[in-house]
Amino acid sequence: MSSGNGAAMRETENHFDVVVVGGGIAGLQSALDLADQDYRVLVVEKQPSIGGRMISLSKVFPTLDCASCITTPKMSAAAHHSNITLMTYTTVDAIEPAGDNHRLTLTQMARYVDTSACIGCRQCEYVCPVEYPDPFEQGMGALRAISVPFANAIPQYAVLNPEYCIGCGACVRACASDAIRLDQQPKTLTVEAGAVVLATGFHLNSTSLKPQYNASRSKDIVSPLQVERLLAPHGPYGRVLRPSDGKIPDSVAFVLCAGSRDQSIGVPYCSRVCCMYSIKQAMLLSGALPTADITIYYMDIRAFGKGFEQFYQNAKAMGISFVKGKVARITPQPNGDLMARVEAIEEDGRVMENRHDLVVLAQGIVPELVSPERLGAAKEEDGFIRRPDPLRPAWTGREGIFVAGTAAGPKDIVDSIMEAGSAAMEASHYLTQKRATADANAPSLELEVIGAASE
Amino acid sequence: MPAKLTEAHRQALKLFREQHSDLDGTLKKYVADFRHERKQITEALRKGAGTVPELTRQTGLPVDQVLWHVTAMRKYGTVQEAGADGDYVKYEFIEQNGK
Amino acid sequence: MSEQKKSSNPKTESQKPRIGVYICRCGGNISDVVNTDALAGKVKQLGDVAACRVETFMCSDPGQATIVEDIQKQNLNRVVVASCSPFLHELTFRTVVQRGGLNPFLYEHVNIREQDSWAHKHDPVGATSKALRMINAAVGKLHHAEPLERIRMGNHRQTLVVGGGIAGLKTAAELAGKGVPVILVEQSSSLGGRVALLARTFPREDEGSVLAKKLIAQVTDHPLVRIFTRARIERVSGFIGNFDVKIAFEPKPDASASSDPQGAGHSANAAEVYASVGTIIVATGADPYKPARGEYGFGEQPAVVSLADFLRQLATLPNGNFIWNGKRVRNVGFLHCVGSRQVEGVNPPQADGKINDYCSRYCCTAILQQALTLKMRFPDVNVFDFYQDIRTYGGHEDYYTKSSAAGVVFLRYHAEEPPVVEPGENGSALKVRVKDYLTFGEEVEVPLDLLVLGVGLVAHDIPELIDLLKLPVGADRFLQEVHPKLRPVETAVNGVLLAGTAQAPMNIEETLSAAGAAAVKAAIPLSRDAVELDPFVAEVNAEKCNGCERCLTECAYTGALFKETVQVDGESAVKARVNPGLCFGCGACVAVCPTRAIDLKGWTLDQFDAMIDGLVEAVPVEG
Repeated sequence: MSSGNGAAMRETENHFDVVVVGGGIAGLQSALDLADQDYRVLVVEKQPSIGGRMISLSKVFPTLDCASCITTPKMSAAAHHSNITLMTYTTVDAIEPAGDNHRLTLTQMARYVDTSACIGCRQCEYVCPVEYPDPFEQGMGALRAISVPFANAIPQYAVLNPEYCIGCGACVRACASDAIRLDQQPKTLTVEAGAVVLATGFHLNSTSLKPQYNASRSKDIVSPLQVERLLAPHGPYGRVLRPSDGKIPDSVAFVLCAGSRDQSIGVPYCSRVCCMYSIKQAMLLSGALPTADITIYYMDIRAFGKGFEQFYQNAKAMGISFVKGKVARITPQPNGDLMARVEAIEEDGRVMENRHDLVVLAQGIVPELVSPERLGAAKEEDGFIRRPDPLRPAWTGREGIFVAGTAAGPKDIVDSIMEAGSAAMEASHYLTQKRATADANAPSLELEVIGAASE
Repeated sequence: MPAKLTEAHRQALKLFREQHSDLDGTLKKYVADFRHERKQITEALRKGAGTVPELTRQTGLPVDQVLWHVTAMRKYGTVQEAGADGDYVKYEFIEQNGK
Repeated sequence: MSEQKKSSNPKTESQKPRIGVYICRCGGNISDVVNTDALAGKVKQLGDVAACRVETFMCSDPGQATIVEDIQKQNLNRVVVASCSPFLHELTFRTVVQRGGLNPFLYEHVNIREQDSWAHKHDPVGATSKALRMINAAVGKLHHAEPLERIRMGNHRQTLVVGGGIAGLKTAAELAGKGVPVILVEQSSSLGGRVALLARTFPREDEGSVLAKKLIAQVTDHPLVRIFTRARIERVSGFIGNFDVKIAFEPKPDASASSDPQGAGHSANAAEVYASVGTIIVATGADPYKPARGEYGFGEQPAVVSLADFLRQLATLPNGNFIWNGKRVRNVGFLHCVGSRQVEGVNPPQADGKINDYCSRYCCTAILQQALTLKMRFPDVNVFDFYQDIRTYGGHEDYYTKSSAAGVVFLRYHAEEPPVVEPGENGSALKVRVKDYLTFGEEVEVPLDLLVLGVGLVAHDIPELIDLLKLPVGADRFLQEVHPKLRPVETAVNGVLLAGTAQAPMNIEETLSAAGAAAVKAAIPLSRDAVELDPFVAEVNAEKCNGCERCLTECAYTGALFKETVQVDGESAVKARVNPGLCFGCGACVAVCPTRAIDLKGWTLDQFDAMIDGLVEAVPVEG
């Protein structure tokens, strides 16, 4: 099995038309839209696989397509594109002006595996004796100290986690292609780019930000990304179980705005996607757990995108219970149950105590990139990358540096993909202007005007 | 047939151990706990299929750890589901041939 | 996309078929119903099947690599993938097969998800048996498959943009900046569309006309942009790379048109314009919903106005007391979801019999922006906001927070119980009766001097263009993309793209992003000299053709089929011939040919026969 790089990076190759920082769905779409116009693109991803957050999702709203079915072809198209070079497990430490271009300082982290030799056969993983909580499964499943990160990872190279490796050498012995390199060191390198697209994505803020929800006291007060994995076809348990003790849940609650719309936790804005993914997860859960009660506690249902309102109405018709109310407190009981204290605004304002097996906190979306200044951009008060020109929504205000997707603010996949296309367009526009050399082959306007043409 | 380690491999292993010696204390404890827990659960499962609460009672381990181990073993092919008992799934051990 | 490889392995392809069949579990979407392992067992027994494998995600990189490896190591020369709809992944796997060294058209895609596992959830045995029959049909079809080459056609490397609002202007500016010539056609006499009319826009409080003027400045006088106002598309024919367009003009009413602030100077007086373009961008925009007479008092009560009218007038009012139409105003109401989120049986249907059940996306923020502006300028005015859900998503939440802090009073109604607007009493112009669910469903009467209707957006009415370009339209009357994530700005017509609110309600920033996305998809095919089309076109076997011309009568595509006189054994005979660039592969000619002289490449009559045989002969598998 060969994996990956349509254009393997040659040692001498250090100039690209565009470097895309981040190999999630926005970065990949930007890269593809640029490469399809024959620009040479480098995609730098800090995780060992491209695919970003989207590849870990179960299904996506409002079409309920499986997320893999949409993401893998884009990942694969990027990996096999002759104009795209992928560098995974690599961080971008700095972006600085270099004459007319940008100079990027990159650190390729040690995988402890020679990627030119690894064939992704996973023999090393099969013999590795240590397992640790799998980050791809949000800690719920297990991963071995050396392993291919997940089933449809691209590239399919093993990566060793030194924090859990005991140095037993079993993988070295098992590797038929002698690809394990325990003496590998991180490597710093620089590349130059004509333009940069920042697609650095998001993460969720902590479930512990609101102490009244007691997330630290129960494994069953979970993050929405955990629910995505519980619902995914090859999730950690192979089915939906509550993480504390493996019970098949019969009552699941969603608490919306659990990490957004609250100045006191530093996230005054709305995270835009929580209403919709909660509705989606509720629908999928009601399919996986036909007898379970599913409740969504909300303030406003923000189903604003194309097809979203109809999706919401379908969920109501399916019997998912929508309760407009403030969840004041979640209290774990000694028997593992979770009691939610809710002020039901819509009814008589009375305070209810509802029992649930599993409570999902809709956390806030915050930028993954903490210091955009290092990468040549500035940030807004909310921490997301600043875009000063209302007419150029993909431009950071810095010469030749563009932004796509959730790096510029919370948004859904459709909007991220749109912005990624827009960033690719602005970057290609910029590169054309910068080159400013008369292309002999450039088309000129051709049309035929019949009649009195006065212009 | 596992390959023999070459001198280069041994040098690399030595360097790796040296570079990560700061982790030794925590890692040793983690691995010891991991092996101990895995062994207890394997022994319990060898006696017959069980749910996570049942295996918890037999081993005295924390219940969330039992779930984690059982499903990890399921992922790597040494455990499979064997029906359900009320709200809990039963798991059984798969005896490996030749191992 | 990389350059078309020649079918690199003609030797293998002409040999006896060695077919690889790959069955996808689709992570359970298929294998939860279809017994994929039993299916594979049966498929292995089918004639000429040399390899059969089951994978969790065939489309993943490991899945693709398996196919490539099998082609090379097991000398496969035909491939079947049984997975999801070909609409999603047929192209993916054609590329995989090509990467393995085979002609990409020696590939068959079988849809055992949408057409099988999803359709027969409750009949696993039947679904498994059906999957086998479908695969057997594909295997049969592949026995008769031949390597095909995509048709290469010339490429007119310029774009037609329909619509001169901000979406059209943005696409034109980006494309011209990238070096792609653009012809921009605007129906009205001026550029800038709806945004040019907005006094204030969110979230940056820019004046709409200022934004529009900046965009207009980027395209007027650009050597690669030609703008025609008062113009419309009269005729379109052809296909990607080669659309022939005729543009016609509305007669100019009089000389005063030249005093038009934005359009003047660029509205050519031409009688007709002809152009050939490679891609077309539809940026025809949306209109504010126009309430019916009497809907919430609109058109009957002078104190009921639409949001756009309110916005325009508010911008011109002096500070001090809030005076509207000569009267001092103390109580103002804003009503959300007018013309949006409508409910069957509650809201009367629109002209086409349908209700607008979608959310118009921009209005909550636009309303609260105005409510806040009003409160800031006239703090004594009481503002009441009648809503269902406040959808100030993202950073727009700021408007909601600030409006609440400024004292805007919110009342929440249910879609099934919309507020009732009646003439007022005791000096008030109006009275709004509503069941307020923030006060536990209490029936409230709110006296108002002015009610602002937060009208939604409706698709701009473009029946002629929809007809000319064969544009797909959704149930909400907005133009329909192929897939919201895989191909979000592309239509089912290759080379025709959507930009902005023609596709769905959006705000300004979203419209500009969508326009950028459309521009890039318009630029990609124009970045090379030729376009490649699928080879599924008709082909005439001249030996069998008897010159009866029935096919010519049946063909609906001008120029696709023609007759020519050839010499056969010294005598002249009339034979039909196909122009592959113009043929759409509809098959109408094949159906009427009495001598089986015409076949569709990739879909020959022999292949259809083999597929039917394959469907009927398969042995059911055990579930």
